[in-house]
Amino acid sequence: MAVENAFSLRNVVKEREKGGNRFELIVEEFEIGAGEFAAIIGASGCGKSTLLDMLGLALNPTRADTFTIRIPGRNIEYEIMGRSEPRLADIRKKHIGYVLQTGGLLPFLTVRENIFLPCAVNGMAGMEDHVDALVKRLKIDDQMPKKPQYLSGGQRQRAAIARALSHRPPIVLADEPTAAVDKPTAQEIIDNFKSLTREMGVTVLMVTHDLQLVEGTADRMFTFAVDKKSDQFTRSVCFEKRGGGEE
Amino acid sequence: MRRSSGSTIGGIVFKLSLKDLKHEWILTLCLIMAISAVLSPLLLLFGLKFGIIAWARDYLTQDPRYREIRPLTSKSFAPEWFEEMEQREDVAFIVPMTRQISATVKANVKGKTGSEQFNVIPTRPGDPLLLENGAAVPEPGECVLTKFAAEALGAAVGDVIEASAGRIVGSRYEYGTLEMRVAGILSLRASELKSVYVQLDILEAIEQYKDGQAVPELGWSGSTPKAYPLYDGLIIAMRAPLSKVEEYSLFNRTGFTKIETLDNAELKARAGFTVSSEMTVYRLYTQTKPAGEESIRNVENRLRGENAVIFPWIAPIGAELTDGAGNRISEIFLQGLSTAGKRPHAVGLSPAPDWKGADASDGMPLAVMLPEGIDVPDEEVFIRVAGEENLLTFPVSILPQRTDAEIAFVPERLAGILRLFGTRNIRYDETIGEFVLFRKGYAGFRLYARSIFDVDPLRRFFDAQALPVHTEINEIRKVIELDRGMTLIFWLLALVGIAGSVASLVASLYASVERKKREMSVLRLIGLSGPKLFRFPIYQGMLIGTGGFLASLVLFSIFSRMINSWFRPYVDKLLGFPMEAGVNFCRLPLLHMSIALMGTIAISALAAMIAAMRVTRIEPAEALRDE
Repeated sequence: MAVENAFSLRNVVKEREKGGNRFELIVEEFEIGAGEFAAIIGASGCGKSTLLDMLGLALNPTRADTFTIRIPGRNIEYEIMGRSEPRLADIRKKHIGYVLQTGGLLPFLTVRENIFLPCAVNGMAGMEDHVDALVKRLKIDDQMPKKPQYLSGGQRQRAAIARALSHRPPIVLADEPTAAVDKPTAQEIIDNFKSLTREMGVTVLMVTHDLQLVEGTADRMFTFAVDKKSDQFTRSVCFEKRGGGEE
Repeated sequence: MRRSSGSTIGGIVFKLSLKDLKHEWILTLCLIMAISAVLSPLLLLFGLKFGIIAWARDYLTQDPRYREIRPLTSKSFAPEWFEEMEQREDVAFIVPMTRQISATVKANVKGKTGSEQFNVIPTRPGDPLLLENGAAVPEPGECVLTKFAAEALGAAVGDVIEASAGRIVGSRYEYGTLEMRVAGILSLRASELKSVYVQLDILEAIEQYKDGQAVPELGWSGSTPKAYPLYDGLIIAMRAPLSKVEEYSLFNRTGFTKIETLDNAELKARAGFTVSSEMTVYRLYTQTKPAGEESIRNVENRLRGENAVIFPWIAPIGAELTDGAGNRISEIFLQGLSTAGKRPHAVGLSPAPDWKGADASDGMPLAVMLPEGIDVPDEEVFIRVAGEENLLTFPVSILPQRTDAEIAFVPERLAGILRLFGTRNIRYDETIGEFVLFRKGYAGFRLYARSIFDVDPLRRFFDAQALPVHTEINEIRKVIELDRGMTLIFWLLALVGIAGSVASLVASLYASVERKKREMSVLRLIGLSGPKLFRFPIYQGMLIGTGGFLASLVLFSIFSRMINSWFRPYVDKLLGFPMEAGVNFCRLPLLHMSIALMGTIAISALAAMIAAMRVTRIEPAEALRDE
């Protein structure tokens, strides 16, 4: 049985201008199957965060031929172009989990409240068993009553992963989730993250600059070809990295 | 964060905003204190506005001295006029006054020597001058003294004073005395005169006594003011006509102004009776005011030796014949006709009532000769005449004789007294069997307008009635200007305070949103849309505003108690009497507190709008990009 695509992008362009400098990101073809673990790798300024913003429905493309998100197993497909912000917010709320660089936990909530926040926003009750299992797997079950400020960097990232998965989203986007932790911890977090998402059948898109971290782990890898046309104009083209392809 | 199926996104946002404030409690406390620093003086200002300032405003605007209106000229004011004035919306109180000259007494405290002369001023229940200056309205047998009157007498509340009204009868001084208990002493604010306030009937009694009359209720002896007859003219029947000169002499300085000759038909029409056709009949009459007995004597003197028969004449007076229960038997028109000393047969008088058989009082029988056709029950009957202000009822006997005219006849003197009833108040005194005069009206009044704002319209009303009055209009203008000034200053201060609160809230909440930009973007990324997160700073503003208000309320409570306890003695001293127990210098009624709380929350919410607008512009992508 063919795997459904969670993301399908074709000829998606995002143009940005800041301080007289123009940046153009082109995504000619971008597909991620449901349940796949995809990594977007690249150096600073190549456009990986811009791509993640678009995939995370936090930034609208300038133009696109195709930009659809399909919710695996639910026969729901969203055409993203032209949707209003409240509608995009609704898709984000229901179907996407986010793991941010330093966790992105709200400092005024406890770890428990942070983790349950997506469930609360979605009006989901009876998620306690699921969340308890998650936090045990992530080894933060004893940190639940604390405020995020009292957690170590690794614990914060694990709590962020728990929050991203608490409401069972079909898609999780992670932006450099291990940037703020040491290498062994980073590897442990990624392994944990991958095994958890695999078990839950979650499609994962992870941005990282650390190729080693995802090599051998990611099902797919995307990178960028950066072309500095002039001092004021940079064009970056995203493509899938297959079998040792160069950035 | 758990959301049950019943809780809304709004509820979640509220909990988040509350938890955020709690998390940053020190900063929240600082914001609350900042708000309360502006609100507390504002609440104290409002407290003073609704406390001492409102009290002072009412004290000034309701001060009876400023509301008093007094007539500048003496005039007769009928009781009905007072009733009409009492009905007016702009009149708070009115009491009649007697003539000023009759309103003085000498008084001393019983058992003490040394008497003083005082003005006697009437009062009645509801008198604002007394009630708002520390005294109750005196009951019968009581009086209220002004501060200076009490000082002069050395009198205190509860003392009994002896007051005596004096009069000169012939060359003899007479005094009518009465005792009154001092029910109260007015504050200096009420009056700087030596005056004694008593019920109106006491003042009327004093005036009556000074006029030489008796006041039986107080045991004061004197005369009784008996009613006297007035006539509209005379009918003169003579054997020979008068010359023109003689005619002229009858209305030259006699009290009559016109003369005319009547034939018998005209006489019948005018007076209801006829005389022999051989007689020459004149009608002598007045055009303006009626003539008294003196005028009749003048004419009698001038016709002495002419064999003239004189019939005092009045225009017919409408009356009712009633039974003892006051039920009307018949409507009648009365005229006077007497036969005594008039040789009725010699002049051919028709009809010629014989009053001798009728009851007589003071030589005047109370009897009536009715027209034919009126059935009278066999019981005591009465005549009832309606005057301008009241009814005059008296018993009459019915002559067996009847007249063929439509007119009923009564003795001339009785007719003259009924004519007087048209201009004076008369009552029939059964105990002495006489008609006596009683008060027609009052010489003046004490009037208090409902508020100082009603004084000028009332002044214009009296001016339109050609009644010049004294008012404190200049003082009132000053008070109104002062009130306006104070209100303006208050609202300016309040405006500055409110502007300060708004600026403080806007700055604090905007800064707070700027600091929380990352948290806001994370919340947006999680799925809370801009319009939903819009409420976050609004809720926080409202919570901080409420907190600031409650903190201000605590401060207000402490400071208002201090103000209320510290300043009262100074103001009591300033006023010269203790303020009422319920008056607080600084107070906020519950309703005003609730309004202030609602106002604070509303203003906080409005101030938070600017911060809320900023929240809607925070992009969810900022959560990712800020990393």
